[in-house]
Amino acid sequence: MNSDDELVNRVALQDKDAFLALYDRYVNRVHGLALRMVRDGQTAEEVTQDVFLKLWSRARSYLATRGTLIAWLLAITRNTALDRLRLENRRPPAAGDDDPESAWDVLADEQFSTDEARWRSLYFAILALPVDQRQVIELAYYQGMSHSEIAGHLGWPVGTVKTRMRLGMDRLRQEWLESGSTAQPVEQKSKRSAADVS
Amino acid sequence: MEKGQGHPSREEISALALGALDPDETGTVSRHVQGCADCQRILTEYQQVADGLLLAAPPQEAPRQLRARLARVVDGKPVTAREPDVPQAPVARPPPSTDDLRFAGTRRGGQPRRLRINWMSVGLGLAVLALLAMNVGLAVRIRLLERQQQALLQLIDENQSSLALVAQPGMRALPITGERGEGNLVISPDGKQAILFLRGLPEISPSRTYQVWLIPAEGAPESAGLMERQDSQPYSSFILQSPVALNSYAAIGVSVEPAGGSAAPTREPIIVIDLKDLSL
Repeated sequence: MNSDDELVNRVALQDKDAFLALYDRYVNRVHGLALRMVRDGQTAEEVTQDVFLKLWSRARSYLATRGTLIAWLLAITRNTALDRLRLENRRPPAAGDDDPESAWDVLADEQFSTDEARWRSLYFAILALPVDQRQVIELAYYQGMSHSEIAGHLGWPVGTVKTRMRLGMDRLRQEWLESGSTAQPVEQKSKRSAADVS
Repeated sequence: MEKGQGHPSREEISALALGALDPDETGTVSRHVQGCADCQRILTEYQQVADGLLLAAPPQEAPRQLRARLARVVDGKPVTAREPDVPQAPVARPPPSTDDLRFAGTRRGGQPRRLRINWMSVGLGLAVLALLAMNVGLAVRIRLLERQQQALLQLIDENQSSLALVAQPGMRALPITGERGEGNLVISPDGKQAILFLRGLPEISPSRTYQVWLIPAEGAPESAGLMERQDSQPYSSFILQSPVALNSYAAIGVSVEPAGGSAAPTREPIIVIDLKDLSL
């Protein structure tokens, strides 16, 4: 099987087969994150399409030294979805709609690598957070809202938002460290700085 | 490590990792973290969680027609508004009439007719098709190369202008840190010219553009122009020209706008450079 780096280099040379190979490899992940964020099937499909069009047109700008291809694609997915949410000025949907057990059943025959197991573990850790902590983290990360915006949306004091966000992140950080994250979750080959793109 | 000792709080660092700080807090916290090993370590741990949030969203099967649609796009074929999920059934041909059956494939006198293929014509036809295809392919490649050449020439032009400015004596550099990029603002001694160098600017859709704004202390932001993200360079640059010294503005902002730019910012800037304490 060709590695991601080999395929991306070929996509940069406008190799359609390499592009479709990467599409087949990652579309469900990209679509999953898009759907998680925009909560609308049609919009998620458009975001997913946008992401892969960016892969096709900007494959040359992918730098393997800064992280894995999947992390790059998902970062683009997040930014594209956030742009879409802001453009449509959409209110974030209510949290807590996920059925935790069925969420990972879509690709039941997918082989889980060690990384997949860690991410799955983090997914369940997120769902296990107290609702108020999960809400603020999801509004911040999946909806791109700031402290003040979250406070306004939920009708809470800003200080309360900050505290609950930090408590939730500390729990997730603990879970992440305990699940064996001494290997970087994103294959970071260089040290990230404070202002790296999220 | 507590906020009282000059460090940002854990609330602020965890929010920075999630991109949830209010715009007026982001610059201050980012700048501190860049220069503080303890805070940097904490941020890195929170950023690992943020990366995990990206990867923790469960996969969801994408619509089948999306693959076909993208395949057509990369093939350069037109895409209809809605691609069918299943191929259309072939149109049924009417059965031949009995007359057709009687006379089909027969010579006068009832002898069976032999099918003769003029191989020369077939070969010529294929050769013509192949030449046509090659020509079309070449024309497309030439156009692509011309566009790339134009973009490179423009880039060389911009880089030469930037270099000329940077080389002026007395230029000062202001570091920039932000959630979506970092770099430097290099300012001329009179404060009326500056070059913005930014690294790590995220990819944006072709229907969007970066726009630079001069933000006064009071009143509406003024557009300083559109900034192109440069894929082939480790940084993107933008030359700022102002009739008045830049420190008469409160800040410089960079936002993502619809292609072609906007008369006023349509969303919060992703990078804000505070000019309040800039002395010239």
